[in-house]
Amino acid sequence: MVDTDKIAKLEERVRTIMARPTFGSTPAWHQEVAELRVQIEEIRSGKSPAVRPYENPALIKAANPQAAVVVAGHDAHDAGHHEEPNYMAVFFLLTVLTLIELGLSPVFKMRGLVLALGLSFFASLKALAVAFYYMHLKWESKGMKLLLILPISLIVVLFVLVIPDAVSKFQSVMQ
Amino acid sequence: MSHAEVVHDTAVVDTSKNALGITPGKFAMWSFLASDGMGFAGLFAAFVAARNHGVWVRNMEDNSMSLTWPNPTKWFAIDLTALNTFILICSSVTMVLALSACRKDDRAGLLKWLGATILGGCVFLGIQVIEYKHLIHANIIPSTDNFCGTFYSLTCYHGLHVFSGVCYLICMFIGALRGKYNSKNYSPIEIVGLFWHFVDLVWILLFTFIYLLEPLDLPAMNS
Repeated sequence: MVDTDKIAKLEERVRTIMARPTFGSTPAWHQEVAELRVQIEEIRSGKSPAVRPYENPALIKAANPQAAVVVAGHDAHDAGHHEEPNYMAVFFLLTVLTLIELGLSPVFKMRGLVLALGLSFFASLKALAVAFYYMHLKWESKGMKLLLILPISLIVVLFVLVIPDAVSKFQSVMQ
Repeated sequence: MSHAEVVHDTAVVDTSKNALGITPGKFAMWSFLASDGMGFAGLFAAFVAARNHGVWVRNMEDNSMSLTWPNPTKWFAIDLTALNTFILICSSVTMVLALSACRKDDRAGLLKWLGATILGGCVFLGIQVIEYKHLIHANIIPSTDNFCGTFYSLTCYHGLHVFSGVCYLICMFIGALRGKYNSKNYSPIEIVGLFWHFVDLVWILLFTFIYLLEPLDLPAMNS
């Protein structure tokens, strides 16, 4: 006997998802709709829901190669299928670099410009380690990396604009 | 309708047409972080500009005044701030471990590491409040001079980010408790992670340039 109430509920759910304004650009919702429709078909045909076609990569690939990318995992495509980096190694690197930074002045007796350059170097190294490995920027698409070049360039320009001020101040002090 | 047709009909998504090949949520978070980074850069530039011109600083030993830039290692409890830096680094690693657990459908791990990240954020904020309390007791307040003004602007702005991050993480924790996140739906955890790592990244720079960078050896400008 076909469970019409359940089918009606599932169809209502499908309509709700498809009515969302950004439905067209959200792979996870397409996937959810696909799953719901398969469930509806299963209920109508009285088949066992044990084996679902969207969990069968061969069937999906046969239907459409592009669909396989989405169905293999909602978010798998944007993670780039990369292996997880060694997060603990990055953690130890950050801790060691912080300890080195703390020791530059009292232990290594660095002063003035040398200290400023040393601190800048180690801070940049730490920031890059966080961005590339913890924020997974290393595995992002080229387009995504290019997007970040604009604000970083503007930040550099902002600091370059401060240089004339610093130079004039230094000159006035030297006089 | 066959199963193959069902899959063909609804699951066909050309992922290359998504914004820069990533999910819209992740794209939005990266865009937000890019603009937020520029906000921090503006405050940093103000800090650098103020530093160029020096400030009237009271010598704690003989109470004399001099026009220079304060040596932060003498003003601040660096060991306490270093501990805070370490806590934030720890909370960053717990955040990536939470994401890793979510990708492996390890719900207990996800809850454990998300909880540890929230705890790290709360401890960081607690230590920052203690630091402010000591500074205010020593009459080092935002209106004291340019150094204090830019110092409080930057650290308070960052502290607000940590507070927002903790609230955001609590929302994710509640979602995880309800079983909303798994290996097929981990994007929200990844997005909150981006925000949290950004907060950590900014603190790494703040800690170095505000707390550790001593004044350059310019000629003395005693009044």
